[in-house]
Amino acid sequence: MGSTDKSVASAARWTLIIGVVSSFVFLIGGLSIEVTEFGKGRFAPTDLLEIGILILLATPVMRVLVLALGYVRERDLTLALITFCILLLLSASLVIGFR
Amino acid sequence: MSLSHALVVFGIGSAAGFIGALFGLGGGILVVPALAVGLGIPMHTAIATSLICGIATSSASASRYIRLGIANIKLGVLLEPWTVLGAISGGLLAGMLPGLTLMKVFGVCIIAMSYPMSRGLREKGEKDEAVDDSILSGEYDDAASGGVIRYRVKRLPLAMGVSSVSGVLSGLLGVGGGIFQVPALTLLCGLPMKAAAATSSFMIGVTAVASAVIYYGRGYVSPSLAAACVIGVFLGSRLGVVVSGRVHGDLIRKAFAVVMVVIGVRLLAKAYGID
Repeated sequence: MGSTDKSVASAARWTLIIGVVSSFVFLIGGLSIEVTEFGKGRFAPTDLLEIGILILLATPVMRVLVLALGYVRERDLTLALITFCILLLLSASLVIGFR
Repeated sequence: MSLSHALVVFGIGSAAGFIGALFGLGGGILVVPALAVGLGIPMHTAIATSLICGIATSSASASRYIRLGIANIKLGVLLEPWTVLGAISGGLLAGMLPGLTLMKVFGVCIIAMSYPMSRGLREKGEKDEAVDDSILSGEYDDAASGGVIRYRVKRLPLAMGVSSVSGVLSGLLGVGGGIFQVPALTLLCGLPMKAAAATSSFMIGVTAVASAVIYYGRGYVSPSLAAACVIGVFLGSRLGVVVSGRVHGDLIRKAFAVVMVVIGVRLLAKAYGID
């Protein structure tokens, strides 16, 4: 891979890491409060858990978006088009799920 | 959710993640039956939980494979539209089927998957020394051999078809699809095993989220259940990866294939009310 490829790959990698780590902060926090009831008055555990799950669901989507933007920057229009198609399909699944 | 219940779910997730990583499978193949049969969780919720677990573990694995340069990102991008389409179809189909039907389908599938598990997967990737720098070629530094492994991707249309099928299975049953994707990438497309596993892992997160969103929107996700299971599967799979290098053998793989058959029979028995 050329150096441009590596920067796109690195951006994708960090998107995944940040997504997983941040989701786990909310999941562990929410679950801890739920099962121990420590701090339950100050924090709603269900809200924290929902946020954690939503971040986890968003993580692969953000990875695709980061790749799409990276390919646009690289002027690799074929791959940019394909990744935007993936985003379109994921948007469709979102609409289907909440219809 | 009570502490004891959370610990049980965490334990199930850890075991599933550990065993799954040991055999190169996702945790879903064990999480779903364990939750459905072991805890009586409704099938749709069990599948939704498994999908969420798959997103977490595959995202973590993929980040590592990207750093090592093993995952063929461009190939993954080419195949993802097909896995996503399959996953959406699978998710929609799952929504139309009652839980007991899904349990029967899962039981049959896991019994069917036990056969390739028992046979194992022999490295048949063709390593080309002289490959062009086309979109369908790849290379990575292989620590085991100390050299650079180069390969060319073949039969892409066939891989797209298999990716669609693995996507449907992912959406319908909550399994990662890797059990089809990895053999397809290795046997059909000529990828070395490591690249196939890494590329499959790279794709699983997007595949899983395509149907997970459908399950989530339809209210099948239990946040506390998912959280306890995700954390367990994640930690279990990390440990499984460490141990997997020290586990040898056909015998253990065959034993696990037997376990898969037992799980499948158990699922079918429950689905048909023979308990």
